[in-house]
Amino acid sequence: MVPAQDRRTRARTAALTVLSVALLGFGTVALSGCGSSGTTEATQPASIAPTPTTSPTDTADAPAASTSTSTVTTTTPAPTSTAAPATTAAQPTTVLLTDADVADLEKQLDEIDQLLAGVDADLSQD
Amino acid sequence: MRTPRSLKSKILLGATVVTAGAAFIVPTAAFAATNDVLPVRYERACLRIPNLEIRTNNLLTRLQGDASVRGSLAWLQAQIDDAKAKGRAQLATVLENRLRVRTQTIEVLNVRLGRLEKLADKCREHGVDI
Repeated sequence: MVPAQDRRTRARTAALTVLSVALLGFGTVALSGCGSSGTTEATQPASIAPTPTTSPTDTADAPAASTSTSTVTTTTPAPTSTAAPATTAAQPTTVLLTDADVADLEKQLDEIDQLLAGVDADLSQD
Repeated sequence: MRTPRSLKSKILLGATVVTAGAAFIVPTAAFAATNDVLPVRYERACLRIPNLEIRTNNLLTRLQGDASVRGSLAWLQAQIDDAKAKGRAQLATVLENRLRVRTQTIEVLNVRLGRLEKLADKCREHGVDI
């Protein structure tokens, strides 16, 4: 083989190797950060059907996600109305729904469900 | 000599493309799936509330019924009186203990009913029609 061609081939191979390793590293980091569905589900908030009457403070009393490190806020502009004052039309409506919100609701309902089952069982003794 | 290196280069290129694609696509898909599931879970939980309210109200109605309603406090008190009249002290004690528990149950159910109403309000604020 001609030495010049050999050098070009080696250089190209080396460059591709470096690029592969770099992208492999990037991919590994990205997948470990977000790839696990369980971890993602526990940390990512989502929004649901915002209503114009809901104020941003509604999310303040929601329990914080235990493992949440970042927050995704979905902002929906308030419906524009020609009759409404300009100040209210400019206010965005933010409804934040986190995994902790859903888990807390489910937990409370499960607890009430169990209580009712217990009362049913108690009454069945009579 | 030349063919194996060419093959090696193609393999490396293929691996690079696959890795880059996985790095960008997988996290995006996982994030989108999560944001789709969470509102559905929330709405599903909210839709449990009406039946829990009905069950709670039914139990309260039964517990607060008159002496003809089996299981009510008044009915239980009548059973206690009857047991005492017949000299069945242990049965009367058991029923009295049950009556104490059941009296507290009414308070607990009332508290839970109030909590259900608040949860229902919150669900409505989030746009769930219940």
